[in-house]
Amino acid sequence: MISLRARFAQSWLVRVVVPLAVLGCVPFVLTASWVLNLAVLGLMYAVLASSWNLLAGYTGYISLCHAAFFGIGAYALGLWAGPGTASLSGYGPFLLTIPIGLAVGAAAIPIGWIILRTRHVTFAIVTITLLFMVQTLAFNLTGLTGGSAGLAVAAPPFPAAWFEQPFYYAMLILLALCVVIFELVRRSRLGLSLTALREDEEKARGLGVPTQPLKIGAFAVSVAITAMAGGVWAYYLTFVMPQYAIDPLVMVGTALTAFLGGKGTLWGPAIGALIVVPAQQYFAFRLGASDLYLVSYAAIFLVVILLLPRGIVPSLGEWLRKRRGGAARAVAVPDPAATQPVGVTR
Amino acid sequence: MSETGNLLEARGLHRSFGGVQAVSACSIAVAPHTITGLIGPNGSGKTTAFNIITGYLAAHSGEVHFDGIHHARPDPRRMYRAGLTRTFQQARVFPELTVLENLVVAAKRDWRALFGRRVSAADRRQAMEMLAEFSLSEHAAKKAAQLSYGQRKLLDFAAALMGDPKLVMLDEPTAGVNPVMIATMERHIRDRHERGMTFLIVEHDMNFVMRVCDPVIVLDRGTPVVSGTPAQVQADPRVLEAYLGD
Repeated sequence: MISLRARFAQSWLVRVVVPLAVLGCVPFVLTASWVLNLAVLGLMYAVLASSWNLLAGYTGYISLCHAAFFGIGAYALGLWAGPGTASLSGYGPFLLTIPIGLAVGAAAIPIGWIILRTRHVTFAIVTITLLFMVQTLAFNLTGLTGGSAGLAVAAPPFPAAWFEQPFYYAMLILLALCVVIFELVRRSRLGLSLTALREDEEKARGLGVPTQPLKIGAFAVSVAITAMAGGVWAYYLTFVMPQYAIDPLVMVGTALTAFLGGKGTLWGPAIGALIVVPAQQYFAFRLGASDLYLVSYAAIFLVVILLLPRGIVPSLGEWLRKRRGGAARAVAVPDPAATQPVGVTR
Repeated sequence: MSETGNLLEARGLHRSFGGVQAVSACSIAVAPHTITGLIGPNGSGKTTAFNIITGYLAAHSGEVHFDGIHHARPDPRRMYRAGLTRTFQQARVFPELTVLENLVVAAKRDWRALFGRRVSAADRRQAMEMLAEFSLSEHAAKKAAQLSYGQRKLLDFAAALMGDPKLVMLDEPTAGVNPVMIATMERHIRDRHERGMTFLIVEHDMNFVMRVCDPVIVLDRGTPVVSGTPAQVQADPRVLEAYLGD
């Protein structure tokens, strides 16, 4: 039988509700504008890494085209809500990200149908090609995107006192969407089938798992949320430039953040982002003029990958389980009546 | 079943890799309720034929008929739904799933079940019955990665049975496992056979083949050369030639 404590640790309350509530309280505690600005950026990477994780974590497909969809979301918002059109006291553009997400998700289905026929390295190459293709289009479709001159977006009419807060909560809602979807999938046969697909796609197909629809679905949901984050980001900056909206560095940052925190875990990508982004900003601030910050950035990854190769969350989880398992055995040994070590589920 | 009464009929399969003809003019028939053996020296195209029939590899020409239906382009998932499953030479399991989940994922369910519980009560019951049959019940909650190689072979076999198939294709069921496990495997095959299941087995262990399979088909350089009872096959000079060369 599963112990009460383990069941509690596996509950929605502990896994989803409490962490989100804690993140929801942050703007009440940290009110300085620069800190919140950092928090918005951190949450944005948390959303990017978590939505990327919906595909990579469940299916094992390492996509390098998510930044293209981030840019498409940013441009879509810029085109829909141009300068002077921030409706609903400035909250209108946030709502526009919903139809943008749905449209991008729908458009991702035929794209996924084609690119998900490749695997492993080929898939990575195909997706990074897609990224550069979209970036080239953004530079050259000047009638639509303004090319390298950029595209102006509606200016948010929020007062300086709480300018960052709406963006913080918009990103938090997107993060909540990612973790709720991740958790719902994990608890359903969908999660079981996707995990089987990730572990051995060939065998899963032979056991009746509908691998192609599952992969395409995961891809569509994953890029849809990425595009929504792009929309919020464009509104936050009020300007979309092709080299920042569709940026290979953002893509690499997303993937590395997810790996760092723990690909395939619920909170790993978000935790990775909340460590990496402040560290990156700190180093950029301290060493910015010399570009040396990129070296320190690389150093963080090297240290973590060497010390915690599977990522922070899985490595820490294992360490805790071992510790708790050891402690429980130590208690259980002198007490032969105890048939089940406390807190050990398997 | 086809007009000839066979459960599976592969006709004129042809597949080459570069200049090498892996199978050519390869026609295999499996009658219902038999344990058909497929033998041949290394490189004779047994696994290639297996992969074509189960849809893992496209044939350059040839036809596959299963249970009376012509499958123009066999696909693993469609073949599974039609009632054909297989195991792999290297006992393949889903290492990060539990032993129980390895079976649940193989149960035949329609797409709506995907949105239901990870392991429903009915799934659990069916999987536990199967685990009990294979004496793996005590390992139900373990990750499949923790099983021994022999146990993984059994789990792979059990998973292939979860969808209630008409034909199970076993790729070297006894390779790399100890004699006790071979006896266990044989018992399970016979047991399922008595309950009406049909098997097509690729195997190198000749004692096992001669004991369990009837009929036996011998492949040589991608083409079937002899087919008959174990006694007929053993007496046929072409078989010796296939194994020892000219």
